[in-house]
Amino acid sequence: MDKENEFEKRVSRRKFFNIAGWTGLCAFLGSSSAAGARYFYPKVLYEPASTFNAGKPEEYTAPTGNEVIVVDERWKKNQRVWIARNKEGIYAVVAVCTHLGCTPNWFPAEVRFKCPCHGSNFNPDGEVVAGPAPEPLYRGKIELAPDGSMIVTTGLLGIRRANLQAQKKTLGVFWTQDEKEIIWKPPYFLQLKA
Amino acid sequence: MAETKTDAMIATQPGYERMASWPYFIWIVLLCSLFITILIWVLSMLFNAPLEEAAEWAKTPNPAKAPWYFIGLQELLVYFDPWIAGVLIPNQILIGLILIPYVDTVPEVQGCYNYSRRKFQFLFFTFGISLWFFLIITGQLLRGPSWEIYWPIIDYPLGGNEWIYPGHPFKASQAKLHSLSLPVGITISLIGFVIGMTLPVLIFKNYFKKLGIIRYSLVMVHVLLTLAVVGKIFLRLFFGIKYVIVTPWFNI
Amino acid sequence: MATNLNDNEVSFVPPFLKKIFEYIKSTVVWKSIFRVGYPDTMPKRMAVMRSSFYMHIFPTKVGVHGMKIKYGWCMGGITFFLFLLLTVTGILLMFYYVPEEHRAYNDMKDLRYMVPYGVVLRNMHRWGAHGMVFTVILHMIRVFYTGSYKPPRQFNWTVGVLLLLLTLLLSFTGYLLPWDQLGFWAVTVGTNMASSTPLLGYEGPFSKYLGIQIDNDIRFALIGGTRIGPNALVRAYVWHCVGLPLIATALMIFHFWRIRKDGFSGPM
Repeated sequence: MDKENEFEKRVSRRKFFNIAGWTGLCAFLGSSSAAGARYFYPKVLYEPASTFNAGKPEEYTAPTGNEVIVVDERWKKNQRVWIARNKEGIYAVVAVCTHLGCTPNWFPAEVRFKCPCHGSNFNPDGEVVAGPAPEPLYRGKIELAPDGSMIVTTGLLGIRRANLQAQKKTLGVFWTQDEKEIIWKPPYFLQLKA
Repeated sequence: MAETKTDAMIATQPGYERMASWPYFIWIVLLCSLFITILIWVLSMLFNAPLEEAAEWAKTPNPAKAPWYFIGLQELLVYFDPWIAGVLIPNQILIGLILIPYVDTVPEVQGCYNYSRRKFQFLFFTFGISLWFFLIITGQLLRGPSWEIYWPIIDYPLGGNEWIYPGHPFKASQAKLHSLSLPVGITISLIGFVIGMTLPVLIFKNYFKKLGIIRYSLVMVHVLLTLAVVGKIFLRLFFGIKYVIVTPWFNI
Repeated sequence: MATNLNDNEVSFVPPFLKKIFEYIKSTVVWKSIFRVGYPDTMPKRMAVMRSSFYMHIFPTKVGVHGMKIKYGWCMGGITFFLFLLLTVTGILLMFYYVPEEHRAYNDMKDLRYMVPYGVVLRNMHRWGAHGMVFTVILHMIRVFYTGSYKPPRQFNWTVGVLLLLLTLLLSFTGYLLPWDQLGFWAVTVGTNMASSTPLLGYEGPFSKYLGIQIDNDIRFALIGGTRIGPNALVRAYVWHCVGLPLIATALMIFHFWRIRKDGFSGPM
């Protein structure tokens, strides 16, 4: 008899409903807040397609004589990407400065990409040679369509430093040896026979 | 001395001189509103708000400047990484501001302008505000294309040569920068921090006693952080040191 | 002290007009709107402050010390007045502006060239905004230098700092709306700084431990996408016109309430 009374005193019916009520309210408020935060993340984006047909590699002039690289700017306005052709092949450089997202400009006389916002300088490989940018310029993927034209993908989702998203530390302003293995091979680089 | 909350209200002190709100205070309100309206109206008739070309994501204007109240932060980006200059420092400024009335609770000096009885507060706050406006002025008036320093009085040649000026002292993007190695950086920071926290205790003993250790620590941490910002700007400009602390996860 | 203050008044109103005014003022309609007559006696002066909805934010009697311009500079009041001015000009601008990325810039040009008085309205909005940021900073400086944040007014200072932050955010969101190069790149740089937040931003330190990518970090939530585009414009518009003003109003109501409760600060 006494044990029952003691149990009653510890968890009475009133206290049980009290706790249950407050728990319910807090659960409701908590889940509403979480839902409110989730509300701001849309599931589908209507952003322009980041894959486009860049034409055949032959349409891009190869470097001649002492030139190391020829950077073509015809897709910069619509797709925000440069098609760069060096003596070995062709690759796509995404025209987004890795510092704070401004669009750099190509200066053929100085063989440099330069960002107007804070003065980051990139060499033709995309590596940072001056300024506050923390990483090299990103690369776009190039795949060959059956008719020989290049399908360039610049989707910024996932193409981050040549697919090395799993890295847990900053990798510096130059391409590391591992990354160089990746960016100078397909799909980030298209080898052309001169 | 105020014993209760209502005692702090000067309105309850005996002999506090008052006037009827109507019309004297309403008169001031009306005059101020009229004055401001006329001022803004005249400014609007004379000066047009800027409207540049339509937004184009493939072309960034050179230079791309934030509005004047954020240009201090944009200037800080030269010296610090974005997560410090853009996130950490502004949050720290806000936290520091919010903390002010909780660490400075001396009730004597309020309701009047005074310097002699609150030297430290006056000096540090003025220093902070001046630093902020100094960054604004530098960013707004002294920074040109590619965020280089362009002195207003010098006549710079146009076109093509804007990137190369031999012997120019403050070339942010062309300077040869190096970073301190990790042990050196951590040691210097720690020594500075320890000295900064303990030195005022020894020199201003009664100040430390009045504040108590918690409030003293809060105040001194913010003072040291402000001085650290100034110190890093100094190191960057005159010694070309980009990072004081280099870790695999973040750089300061 | 009920002094009749009419003694030395000189009236230029012709007698027949005066009779008409007296009649109007005696009607039930008039008295239902204006419950207290013209405040020409001290009790009436206090009553008109107390019984008016818009004016009972002020006390019936104010201290002489706090009213002096050289003490307070009027900065708090000017900031609030600029807020009201910006609200009015903003609402007027909303009739001709649509936050859609292909229309926004052209709407701005329409306001400048096609809408009657549109150019003055837009200018008032822009200069008023810069003015409000400036006066709110001056207000904060004044409150600091007069020590008016000391207990019991500490929390009011905190609310004031939050209002400063909201003013800056209002200005920042408004900057994007014209959709010109100036605003577009200023907001690009600003939101890319947000993506450098530690832990929450995909370019900040330690973000990779939480699996934060470009499409689930805090910058994504702010601009509703991976780049500044139509989503960002609509979000900036809603925050600027509805969200932030509502939060600012709520905080301002509290701010003024506390000032009335604690009174103006004065020398002890």
